[in-house]
Parts: sequence; C-alpha cells; structure tokens
Amino acid sequence: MVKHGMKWIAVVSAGIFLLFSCMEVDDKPLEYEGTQQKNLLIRLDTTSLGKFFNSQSAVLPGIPVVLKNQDYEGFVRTAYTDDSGWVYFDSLLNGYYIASVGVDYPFDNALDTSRVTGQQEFYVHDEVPTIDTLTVRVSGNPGLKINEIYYMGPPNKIFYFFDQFIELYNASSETIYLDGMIVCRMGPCTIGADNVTYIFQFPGEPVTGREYPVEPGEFVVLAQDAMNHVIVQGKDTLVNSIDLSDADWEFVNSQDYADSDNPDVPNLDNIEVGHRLDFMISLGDDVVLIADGRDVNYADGIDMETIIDVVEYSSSSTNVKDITEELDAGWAGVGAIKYSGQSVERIEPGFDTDNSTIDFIVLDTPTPGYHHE
Amino acid sequence: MNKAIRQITFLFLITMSIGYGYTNTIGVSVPDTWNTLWEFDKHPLHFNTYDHAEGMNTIVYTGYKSQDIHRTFDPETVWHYGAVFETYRKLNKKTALYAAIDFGNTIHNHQFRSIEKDFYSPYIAFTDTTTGDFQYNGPLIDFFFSRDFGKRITWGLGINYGVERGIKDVFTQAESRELNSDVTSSLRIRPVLSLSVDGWFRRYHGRTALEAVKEFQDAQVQTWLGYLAYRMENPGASVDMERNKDGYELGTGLLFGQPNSPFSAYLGFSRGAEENDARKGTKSVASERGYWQRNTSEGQIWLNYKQAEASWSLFGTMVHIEDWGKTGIYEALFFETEESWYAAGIGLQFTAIKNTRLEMMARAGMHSWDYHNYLKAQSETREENEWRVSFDFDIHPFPVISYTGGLSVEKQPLHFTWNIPSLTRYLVQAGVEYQWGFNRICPALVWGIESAEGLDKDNTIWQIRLSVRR
Repeated sequence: MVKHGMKWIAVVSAGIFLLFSCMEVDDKPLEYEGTQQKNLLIRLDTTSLGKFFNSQSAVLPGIPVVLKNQDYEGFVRTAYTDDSGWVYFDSLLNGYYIASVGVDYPFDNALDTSRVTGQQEFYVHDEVPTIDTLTVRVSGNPGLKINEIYYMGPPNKIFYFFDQFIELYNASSETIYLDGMIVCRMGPCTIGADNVTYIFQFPGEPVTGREYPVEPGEFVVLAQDAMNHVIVQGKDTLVNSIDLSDADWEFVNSQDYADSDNPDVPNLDNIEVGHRLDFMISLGDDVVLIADGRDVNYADGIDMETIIDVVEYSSSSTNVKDITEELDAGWAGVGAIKYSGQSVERIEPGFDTDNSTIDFIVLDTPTPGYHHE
Repeated sequence: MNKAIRQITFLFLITMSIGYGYTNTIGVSVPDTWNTLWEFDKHPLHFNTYDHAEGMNTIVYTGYKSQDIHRTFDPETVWHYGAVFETYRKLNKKTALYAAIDFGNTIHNHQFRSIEKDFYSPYIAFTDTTTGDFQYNGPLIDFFFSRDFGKRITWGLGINYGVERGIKDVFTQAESRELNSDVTSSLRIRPVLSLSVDGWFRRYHGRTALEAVKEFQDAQVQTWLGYLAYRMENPGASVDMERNKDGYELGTGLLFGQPNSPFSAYLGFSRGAEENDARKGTKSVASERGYWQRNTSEGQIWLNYKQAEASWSLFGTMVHIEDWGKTGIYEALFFETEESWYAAGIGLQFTAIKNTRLEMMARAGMHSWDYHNYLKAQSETREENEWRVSFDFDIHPFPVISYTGGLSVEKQPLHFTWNIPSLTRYLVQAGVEYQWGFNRICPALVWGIESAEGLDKDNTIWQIRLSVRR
C-alpha cells in the first residue's frame, strides 16, 4: 500500500511541476517611479535683440521654471535657474512634461523689465537624454490674439450650442484696426492654411481702414448670435447659458435668411458663395483663424503672411493635427467636455507661444469681454 | 487501479488546460463567517470532512446595510436581495456532489464617482464625475464534486463561476460587466490510514469591463493608480475600460488522524500568484494603464476533537500577501504593499442540556499593511489587532420545531485606505425551524451594528432570510 501511495505522490508531484510551468508571471521591475531627473538650460533667444545683447543668447539666473506632468493630475514642480542658467529637477515620474517660463525679468539694459516667456515639451524616461534646452523670448509674441473660444455649449438636453463666441484681445502696445479682417473656420490643412471651411469678414478696408479700432488691452467679443441665450426652450431652461446681447460683433450670414441679427450689434458677414450657415464651430475639435484680410480668395486657402493668429482645439490629445505646428503646435481644450458650459482661454491675456496646449486652459464658465481671475 | 490512475491523470490534465478561477461567494448577503472558524467548508479538499446534511435547500434573502461610516468612493447604503438554490447529494458511497446557484441583486446607493463595485480592491481603478445608484445582478454558480478511488485516494473538483452586470442610474451612466471563473482540483492520498497527503491546484480568471456613457455631454473618466495619483482620460460620449485578472494557487497539506480516534490534526500551506492588468479603451485601440501582481503565502493548522456530546477545535492561520504594480507605458514600479494576517482561536461545541446544542468561538489575531506608492511618495503602515467572540445555540424542545440564535462581537481591522483603524461589529441572529411535511422551514432575522471609536455614527445591518430544506 505504501508503495502505491508513493506512486501517487510521484504522480501528483509531476502534475504540480507541470502546473507551475504552465503559468508564468511577470518579474518585478527594477526601476522605481519617481527616480528620474531632468536638467534644463534656460536660454534667452536674442537673435532679434542684437542692440541689447552681444551674443545670440543669454542666460537668465534666478527665474522660476514650472514643470508640469501631463500624464497625472497635480504633478507640478517649480525650480529656479542657477547663475549659469541651469535648472535641475529630480525625483521625477516617467512621463510627458511641459516646462514653461513666464516672468517679468529685470534686464540691466534698455529692455528694463520685460516679459519673458517660453515653453518646452519633452518626455522623461530612461531612453531620452536628461539634458535639454528651453529657449525663451522677450515679450512673447505681441499682436491681436484669439484670446478665448467658447464652443462647448451650455449644459442642456436639446443640443443647444448657439451661444458660441470668440474673444479677441489686443496684446500689443498699439491700436489695431479690425477693418476688413477675416475670421475663418478651417478644415484639415495640408500646406499652410489651405482648407477654409467658413470665412466671415469685418466691414471696412483691410490693413488701411481705420473705422473699427481695438485699443491695447481691449477685448472684443464676436458672438455667433448676439442675444441673451439664458432663455427657455420648451421644457428645457438654458439657465447655464450666457447673455451675449452686448457682444461687440455678431456673425451673420446674409445668405441665411433664418439667421438671427441683433440690429444693435455690428456684423461680420459670410463671404463664401453658397455658404448658408452661421459661424458654427465644432464642439469637439476645430481650428479658428484670423487674418488681416488682404487675401480673401478662400478657394486656395489663406496666405500665410496675412495670418494674424490661429488656434486649434481638441478635447482629445490623440487627435491628428489639422494645421501645421508652425501655426499652432498644440491644442487648446484637451479634456474639455461637450455641453458642459466650459470655455478655453489663454492663461494670461494675449499669452501666445504658438502652442495652444501651453497657452490655453479650460474654464468652467466662459468670460466674454474679460479675462479669468 | 491502473484505470483509476489514468482517470485521475486525465482529469488533472483537463483541469490544468482549461483552468480558470475566481472568487465569487454564494449568498454574499449572509454574514459570511457567522459561526465558522475558518472557511474550509467550501474547499473541495475538505468538503467531505464537514457534516453537510444531504438534501435541497432554497433560501430567499434580503439584506440592508447603512454605511454611515464609509470611505469616499464607497456607497452610503447597500441593499441585497436574491435567492439561492443548493443541493448536496451523496450519489453513492464514493461520490458526493454539491451544486448551488445564487440569483443575487445588489444595489449601491449614493456611490460617489466610483464606477467600480469596490474602488479600493484593485490598485488600478476608474471613476467618473457623478454620484448615483448602481444596481448589480447576475447568477453565481458553485459546484463541488468529490470521488473516492479505493480507500486511499480522493479527488475533488470545485468550480465557481459568476457573471454580473451593473448599471448606474444617472448620467454619466456607467455600466460594468464582470465575469469570473475559478476551478480547484484537489487530490488526497492516504499512504497509511492515519495520514493523508493533500495537494490542490486552483486556477482562476476574471474580466471586468467598464463603460461610462454620457447622454448630452462627454463622460470624463479618471484612472487611479493607487489612491492619490490619477490621470484624466480623454473625454468622450462613451469611454471604455477593461481589467483582467489571472491567477493560480498551489497548496499542500497533511492530515493526521486514526480512523476511530476523535482527534485529528491538519497542517496546510499554499502559495499563489495573481496578475491584473488594466487598460483604457476597447481591445482594438487600448492604452495600457498598468499591471499589478499579487503573491500570496498561506498556512493553516488545526487540531480537532470530535465526539457526539462535545467537540472542540484549535486553529491557527497565517496569510502573507505581497503586491506590486508597474505603470502601463514605462513599466516602472509604482507601488508595493506587504500585508500580513495572523490569527488563532478555539471553538467549542457541546450539548449542555437535553436537546440543546451550544457553540462558542473565540479568535484573536493581528492584521498589518505596509504600503508605498512611488507616484505620490505616499507611505501607509498600519498594524491592528483583531478579535472575535461568538455564541450560538440550537434548541430542539419538540420534534417538529427548533430555535436557533446567536450573537457575536468582533473587532475588524480596517484597510489602510480608511481613516479609522477599526470597526467593532455586533451581530444578533434569531431563527425558528419548523418541520412541515418533508420540509424544514426556517425564517431567520439578523441585526447588526458597526461602530468606530470616536465617531458618533454607526453602520446598521438588517437581514431577513427564509430557507426551506427538503
């Protein structure tokens, strides 16, 4: 009997061996999260500031550099450059980061205290160098800016989104005139801005007109429909919408006889033949462009040299870019939600690095005609 | 004998090749350790050791628990109802069979954000942005089969299978679908009559699919890696998540006992490993969010004395669990946990006076956790004692009627994700069993309360069940 028992034990042992060998589990990794580092050289680009600096670049000691992890919420670190312009971050998580600089720097030359901005995107993990360079520029990129786009629509159950608006901002120190400028909704572009979907134009003579000024620091609201949208639509109340009856401009398509027109608000009119829709933009992803109006021949796109500002937005960071990185290297509105009442606005009035991922934040409520706190 | 060897080897290999395993519990609403010292009775290896009464049992139950003391993502109240149908048969002298099915419904009320049934159980979990009521339902199946091959060999097979669907009633609406399967195959060999050598293997698999849907705007989903770090997923009209679990356990044990002796003793040990991976998106366009692994070591020892008028048991158990996880893209370690549980106890069962059986049990132990999350530099260590005492009685004043009752007091250590160290639970149970024809009908009522030191609120538990045994 004992002999039989031993035979069984041998059979069971062989079975156990086979069972163990049929399932393998992963090995524990050797690398811990939170052990990466990144060293950034903050370099001031002085190529257009030759009269203030002797070299092509300069270092800026003592300025804050903000590093934000784009994978996880709340991972923001700030460090200051040393005398050599280096800033060191350690104990970092693996991931995708954006480092940004936005500071009023006291130069010891005629620039006096000037705004210095810049940003750099990079990955942090074992297979990328720990050293990188962040180039910053003085006073960013002044001019007329698309400062805010409200496209998500208010919380509602009737698919109402006609309270969309675009806010412009004069980020320069001089008066800018809107005469003859165009506002476009763009489709996916192959070269430059070659795919115009909608094109609406301010009245007046492009470039030379002086009828419609925008003073430095002034906001201009362009409403899809300049009316109070806090209204009752059947059983559904749009209490979370906004009042745009005091908008500065209104998109009106004179080829669309059903489009509402507030007689107290001046119009931008559609100039695309056969287009019969109002200036409606997508609630998910789209491109908005403003140009000085010298080129209104939309069939072959908009000449790059006439473009004033472009913003591409998308709720998903994995979308394919519709425009080149030369015009906008990122997306505004990543994570924004349709029919949420959210809006996208630049982090500072007119702040523009031509990367909307950096330049814009998502607001819970729109701020037509003013900037968020 | 050669035929028996072939049969067993074949069945073993079949079990290996199809092996899946899982953790459903039949009759989840019933307090699961009312008067059991340890949960061996549903193990196919030990199933025959217990004095299960042959027959069919039908249980209809409903239960309610108000969770005034709860964690952020726990529901505020839980309501169960359902029916269990179970049968236990000795088909012949060598073969025993148990089968059960539970059609259960569970409702989680006011569940904040979590689209998980238990947010704190997996280390990678998902939430959305709404508070709502989740309703879960689905059948769970238990099956045990035991067969003696001669006098020296017993083979056992246990299968547990469950499917469950959950729907959240608010927008963002969320849906969960869970599928779990678990197979345990065991072998007991008696080289000499006073010694049995056990070996068993368990293989299990689980899949959880979650979907957040928003009717008029995009659903916003967060993926949590641990309990503090999370990432915002891209919003969409519908956001899918998926988690897969795959694991095994391997155990062995020695049972000592002369055939006619009231004494028996057991020493057992098992090891297991479980893999979990989580991803966002459907399988065709999935993004890995992380992987975590659990390695367990478990040991039991007990000594039994069993006589008709009095029985007692001494037992000890030890469980050690090591968990670790890595992030989905970079595969770097993001958490480590070590968890230990040690407990020992004694149980007594005796007939005090005529037709009255009493059971008393006492258990004490210690539970500890050591958790480190490297994404958020979070460290949590907790070590808490636990204890439990219970008293149960069963009185048969007349042949057709009997009364059952019991009470227990228990200190339950709480997982480190709680901001209180422990709960004290008081449970009282009362029931009547009445012989009606060939059936025994037993309505029973359970009431309980859970309290925590320093808190002026309690959790209350109510349960009513009606069982009919034939």
